[in-house]
Amino acid sequence: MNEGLRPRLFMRSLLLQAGFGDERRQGLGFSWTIDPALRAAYRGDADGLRAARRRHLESFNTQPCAAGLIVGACAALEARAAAGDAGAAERARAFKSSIGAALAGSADALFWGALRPLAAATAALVAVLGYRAGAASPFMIGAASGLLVFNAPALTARWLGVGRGLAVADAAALEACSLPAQSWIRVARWTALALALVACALALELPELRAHAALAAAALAFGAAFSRAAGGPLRLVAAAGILGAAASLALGWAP
Amino acid sequence: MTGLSLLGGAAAVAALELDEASIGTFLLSRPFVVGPLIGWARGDVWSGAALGAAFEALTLTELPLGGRLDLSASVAAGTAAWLACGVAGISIEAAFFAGLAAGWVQARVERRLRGTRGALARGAERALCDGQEPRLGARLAGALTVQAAATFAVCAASLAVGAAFLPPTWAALPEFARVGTRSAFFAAPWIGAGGLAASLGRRS
Repeated sequence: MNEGLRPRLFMRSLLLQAGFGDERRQGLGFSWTIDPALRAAYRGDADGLRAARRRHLESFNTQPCAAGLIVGACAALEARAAAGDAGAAERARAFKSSIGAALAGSADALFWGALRPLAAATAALVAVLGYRAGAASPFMIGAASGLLVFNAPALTARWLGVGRGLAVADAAALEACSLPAQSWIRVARWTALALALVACALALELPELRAHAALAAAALAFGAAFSRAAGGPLRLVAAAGILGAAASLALGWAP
Repeated sequence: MTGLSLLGGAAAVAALELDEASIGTFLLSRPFVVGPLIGWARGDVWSGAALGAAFEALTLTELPLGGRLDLSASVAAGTAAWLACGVAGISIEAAFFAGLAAGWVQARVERRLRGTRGALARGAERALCDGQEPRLGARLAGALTVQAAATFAVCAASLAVGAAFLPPTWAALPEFARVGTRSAFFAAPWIGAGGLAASLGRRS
């Protein structure tokens, strides 16, 4: 396999969603991502290249951070197909559709459901701590911390995924399935929960918010108790607005 | 707010929005980044951070599964922060509601765009059948350009309408309505954080 292929596939995988559409989801992005591998594999075989490009224009969807493994594995399978392995092209097609959905389940829970809240909670906690300590740009430092918490594992997963896929082709899926993803998800969620609660508690002690701490704590409890039943927090925010307006009308209350 | 700064604001939010579902995703488009960043650029990082925290907490439990998109958090936070930090007469709570409206519109525009992108892949397939280069990179670049242009248009329109109409509308509102919007904005990050905490505890 070409030495420069891994960084190229990795960089291109960052644009996997650029052509995201209802009809083929990430299909167009996937075909562009894997194109250098196809051109390298089918050099001098125009018909083979055309057929491979058409295969990878089909509908495809997965969690973007998990896509590296699928890109790498499909590139390795296409290289085998170009070298004469009769079943490899069909295996690439089947691998994409089956493992794309399977990986998306765990990866969505890990990256969107656990690491994204962890990043936001880290950003909030670092910002509040920085503000209390009198740091020059606490909110920017907080945002940078959150970005680091998400992107370090996300980019590592993409890079390692492309590498393992290129190295062992579809066997990379077995390696991915043996990872303790569920325990990572649990740890990340509990950590996010703890950090978010500490950030809220510290924020309520800030001089700017201390006077309204009881109201904020009530809103926090209100959100925890009813967000799910209300179908999301936005309706509760509207309810809080109506309550505030009613209290102003009836009691002359002003926050 | 000059026309140039309005266009600059719309361009900045449009560039950051590309990270939401097109490039990356690095979370550069999340409100916890967009809010403080726009606030810092406008010289009021505190208001930007407050709006960023509110939109982050409200949208964090919405997972983009299968490309789901109910509200564009980046456009909502960016538009709100730009209005709150740069326009005289626009309170932070008024900017919050303007941001919500802009984010809602952007989500609908994005859905329409996603409905049209099937043609790009079909065009590439046709080119391959005709023995031509599929020009995949050019097609993707075209999709990104259209996406950025649409976001820019939504943001520029939102900022222009917000800057022109929010100050007089806000001033004309009765006191109880202003108290209601202030209550909603104050409660938003806490309600969102509570919902997130419950959701994280439940899933764990």
